Amino acid sequence: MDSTGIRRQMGQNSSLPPEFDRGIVTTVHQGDCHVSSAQDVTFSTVLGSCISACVRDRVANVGGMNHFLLAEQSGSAKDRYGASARYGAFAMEQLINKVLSQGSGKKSNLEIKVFGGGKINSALDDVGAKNIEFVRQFLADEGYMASSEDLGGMFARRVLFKPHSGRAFVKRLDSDVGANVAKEELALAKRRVVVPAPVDDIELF
Amino acid sequence: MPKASAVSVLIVDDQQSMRGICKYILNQLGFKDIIEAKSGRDALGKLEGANVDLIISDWNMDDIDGLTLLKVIRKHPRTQAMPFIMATGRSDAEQVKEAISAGVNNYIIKPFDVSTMKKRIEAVIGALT
Repeated sequence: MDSTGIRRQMGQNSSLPPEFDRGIVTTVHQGDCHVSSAQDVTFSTVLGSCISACVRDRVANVGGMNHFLLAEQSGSAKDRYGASARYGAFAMEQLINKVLSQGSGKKSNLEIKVFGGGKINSALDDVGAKNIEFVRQFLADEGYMASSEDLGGMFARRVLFKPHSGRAFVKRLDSDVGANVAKEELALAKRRVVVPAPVDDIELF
Repeated sequence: MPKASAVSVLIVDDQQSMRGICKYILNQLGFKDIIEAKSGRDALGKLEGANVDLIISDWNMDDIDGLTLLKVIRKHPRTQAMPFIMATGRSDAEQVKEAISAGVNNYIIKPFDVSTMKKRIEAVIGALT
């Protein structure tokens, strides 16, 4: 473990620390947001250019993980409140509110760790940097300080997070795995499905 | 038909980024007179000193949440008829029913965009010019 409290490993063949290698593992896909207080739950995700935030209420031992990609092209992405940035802000708010509602309800009890934003494909170079810029700006705007982070770099990563204890484990993935992740993210970015249409399917008025 | 630039809107949200997004969208719809409140308590203070034509409030807030704010506003003669739109998450659809009972005029589900916001506002205060 390094000084930021995150366990890091290189390569695919390294074994997991015991606490991450048992119990229920829930995969957090792009667009997901999962929250739990169970001791035996581990949230797991693989990130290329995407960002995952791990938010935990340190008093209530409730934590959650999201996974989002702001894929808007340059130009509009410079717009702080453009569709892409709005999507990221909603993803962060959703996670924070879920943790607060299942936890103590106090923002001062939250600790936040952020991961991802890798530079794993030349076509996605800008995206990773923009994702990092977004999440740092969001945290600054809302008055949060990341208790630890593992952002950027020329690799994809697998992130494991224990919502109960708040412990995180990052494994930097080999380039062939990173290439596959980049391919999937690029397909998502091209289809532009990462910015979902606003929900307006409930008519009560 | 109300002119957007003549309508005073109070945005209530404890997250700066959400207030920023809401203000950005309202600006796109032509609204100029926008007041921001960073909590339910802050909103009550702002309502004392300003003429507000429309309130758009978040539900989840640290001190006074959106539902409590709505109930307080509906109790006071000066504010009881004030149009109130609640912003809520997708998973909070059940809570919308509670808000209806408390007298909310409409709701908007996050994430929202300009057209959704326009539709919701027009449903409450009439077509914008």
